[in-house]
Amino acid sequence: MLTVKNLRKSFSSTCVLNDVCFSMDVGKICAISGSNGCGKTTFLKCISGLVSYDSGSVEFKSNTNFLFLSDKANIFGDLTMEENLIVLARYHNQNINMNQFYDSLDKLNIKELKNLPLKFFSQGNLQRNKLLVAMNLNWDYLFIDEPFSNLDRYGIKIFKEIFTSLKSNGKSIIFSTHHIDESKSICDSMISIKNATFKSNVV
Amino acid sequence: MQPLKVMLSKLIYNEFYLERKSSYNVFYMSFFAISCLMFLLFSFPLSKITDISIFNGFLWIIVALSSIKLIENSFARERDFSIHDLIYSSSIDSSLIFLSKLISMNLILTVVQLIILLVYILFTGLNIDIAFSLIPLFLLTNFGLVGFGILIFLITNTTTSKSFLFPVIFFPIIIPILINSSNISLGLIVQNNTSLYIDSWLILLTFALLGILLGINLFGRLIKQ
Repeated sequence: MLTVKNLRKSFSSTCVLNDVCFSMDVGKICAISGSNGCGKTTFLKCISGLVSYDSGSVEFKSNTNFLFLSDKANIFGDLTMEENLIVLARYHNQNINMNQFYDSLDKLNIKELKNLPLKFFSQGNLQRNKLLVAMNLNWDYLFIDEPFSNLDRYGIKIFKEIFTSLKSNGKSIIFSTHHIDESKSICDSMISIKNATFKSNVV
Repeated sequence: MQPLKVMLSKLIYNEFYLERKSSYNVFYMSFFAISCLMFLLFSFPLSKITDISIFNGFLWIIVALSSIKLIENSFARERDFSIHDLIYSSSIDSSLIFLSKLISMNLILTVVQLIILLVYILFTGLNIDIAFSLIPLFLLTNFGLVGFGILIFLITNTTTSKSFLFPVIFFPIIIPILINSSNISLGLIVQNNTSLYIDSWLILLTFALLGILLGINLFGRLIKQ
């Protein structure tokens, strides 16, 4: 279980997150929405430990693995998908199951790109590569920033199917999005951030 | 301790693998170093080229410049396509990532130093055994250079500071390292009595230990914004 208590984060004199409380059980999906610059990414970075916060606490059950995928490419540009994944697996002290890797390539419909360095990928395919990483690394919580951006309708459909299948395997996902209507069908809860505070809605 | 060793060796392997696969790699650095050396060889009269003190000065200036490039490249690889968040959100201890960077960069810089030295030996007919006697010096010096280099790079590359500050702050801090390394290497090449340089060895050891200890303790904090 993830529990966030009274989290506060400010940049210079601007308070981005003010007294935020949040909790989430395992095997759930939660979407975070809000206008540009409202603090969605900052919240994800705070709970994944990438950004320090002013006060409050973030607690996970012990031995929880999590993965943070930002809205950027998240790649080593000179590597192929397989090489990139293997390098990342080493950073996360994990091994890759190659059968699972090839299955994921099929599911994401990017098998023909497997020998191409990632720097030549289109934005949509880079987005698919992010999900490929998430499908092949072992984690309990996935924090992913704007997963539906740059995807076509088919891509969004694949992402939603995979998110749902990951959830059924007991994985928890928190993502930020502007695609509120697209997200409703897969989320257990949705949160909107306004004036640095959380407004929670159960879907 | 075994899992830590395995993890560290995996991370070191990663660094070498990325160095080999990346467009930012040791080849460009060696090319840059050899270009500097060619500048020395072709711009001085023959009598000056064989003057080992001129080469010695050049060697350590090139090493300082190469270490800046090496550190910048290592982080540029991670930041160009924003993979650093994915790396540093992993559950492994960030001090292990620091150590892997330190060890791999140390070895790469040693290779660059040996390449410069071998090219110089090729031109001047100096005894090749000198190259072997300098390896421990290179390794010890590089721990200090790279250790402090990584920390200063991270301090000067936050969202609120300017990246040009890296060489501006780095050079004054490494001057004691360069002066003492230069003293020892000159002594080793002209085969002076090694006991004359014990103070210099101890200063290099202090910098190396400080670089390692500060890095282990501060890397995790500095890598976070």
